[in-house]
Amino acid sequence: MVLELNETLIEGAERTVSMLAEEGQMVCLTGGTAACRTGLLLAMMGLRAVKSGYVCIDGEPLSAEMADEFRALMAYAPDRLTAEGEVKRYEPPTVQEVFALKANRELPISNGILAEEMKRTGADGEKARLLAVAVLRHKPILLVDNPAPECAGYLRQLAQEEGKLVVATSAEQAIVEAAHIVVEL
Amino acid sequence: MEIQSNIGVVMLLVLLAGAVAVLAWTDHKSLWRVLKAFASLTLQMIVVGGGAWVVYHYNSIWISVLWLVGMMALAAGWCMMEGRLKQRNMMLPVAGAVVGSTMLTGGLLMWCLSSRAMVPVVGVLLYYLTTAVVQMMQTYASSLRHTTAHRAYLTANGATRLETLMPSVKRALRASVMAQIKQMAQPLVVAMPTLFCGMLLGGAQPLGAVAVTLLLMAAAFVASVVATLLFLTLAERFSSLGK
Repeated sequence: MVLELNETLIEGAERTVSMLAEEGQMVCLTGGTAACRTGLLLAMMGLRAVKSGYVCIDGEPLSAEMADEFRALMAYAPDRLTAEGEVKRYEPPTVQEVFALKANRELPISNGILAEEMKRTGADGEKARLLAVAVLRHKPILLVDNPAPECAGYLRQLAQEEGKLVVATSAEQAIVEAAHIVVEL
Repeated sequence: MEIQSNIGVVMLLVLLAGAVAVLAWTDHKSLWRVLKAFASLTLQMIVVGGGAWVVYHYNSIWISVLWLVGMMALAAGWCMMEGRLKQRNMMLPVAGAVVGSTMLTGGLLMWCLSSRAMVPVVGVLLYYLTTAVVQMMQTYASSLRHTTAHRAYLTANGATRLETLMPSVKRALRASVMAQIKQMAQPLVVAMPTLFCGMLLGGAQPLGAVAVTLLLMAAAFVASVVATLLFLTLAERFSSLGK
């Protein structure tokens, strides 16, 4: 599986981004603003418009019709799941809601499995939970927004040993050094 | 029902003037608001009463249909104005919600009662509907605005569009029926519902009035839920809400 960005420009970015990554590799998107890095990850999933250039997987370009199929190959761990502005009177969002979705109901998951994976990530708190949930979806492409520096070794291991294509955004030196490919925004 | 005593009317008006004078003496600001409210109520009652008189007097299907269309158009317009949604193409979902739910529940009620009950039935339904639809629209739009990050997270991790919208749909449904639930929860022995009292004033028998009040409340509840479902379906299809 090959993920390619070709002269991709998103809203708010000053420069286009080009990269080519395969399974078994870890890519780090660094530089630029945090909002720009997050926007690029969302653009890869078809959740943010691309002003010019394209995103493609195995030569198939991302379009409105193909977005669902692209996302079916991906798992996403955001920087945080904010409850800011959320209507707090009602049910706030939980990370584990992902496993109640129809697409994920067949996954073998339990509190014990989740706790174990969270420990493996090397991080703690919400970041560990977000990353563990994404990993436990067992998708070939893992997109991680601003992971904790302690996760550097874990992310590299996911790429090398489990054959995932990991794309992480970060300004942390540990994550940049762990990556096979570094893309400067 | 006819007015039996003009002296009684005059005494009530004198007492009203006295109450307004007390307000004028203690609080000028409230006085103008009260006078404006009374004037507005009187004008609107003249218009509403005039419309109802035309329908009853001519007893023609075309005039009845015209009245019904006019009332639904006014209700939809009111909901658009009060809802204050900035998204494009909101008129169709709002109009669809108001018209669809009124026709369904109003039609059923007229089947239960009679076609002569069209004016009061539609009047009651639109009264509850306009409140429910405005509350529902504002709650839904606000929920969508505040759950953008959450919806993106779920979409990115396998959710369908409906799954991402479900929390906002639940809130909208809750908001649409909450006003009516609060009213139904009032202790009726202390303060009888206006609807029931209106029917007694109109000469209805008490037990019949109870049955009709319960039917109307049930129909208004159904209308609120149907309006919410219609609005959400049409907004998803035709407007830019949540996109």
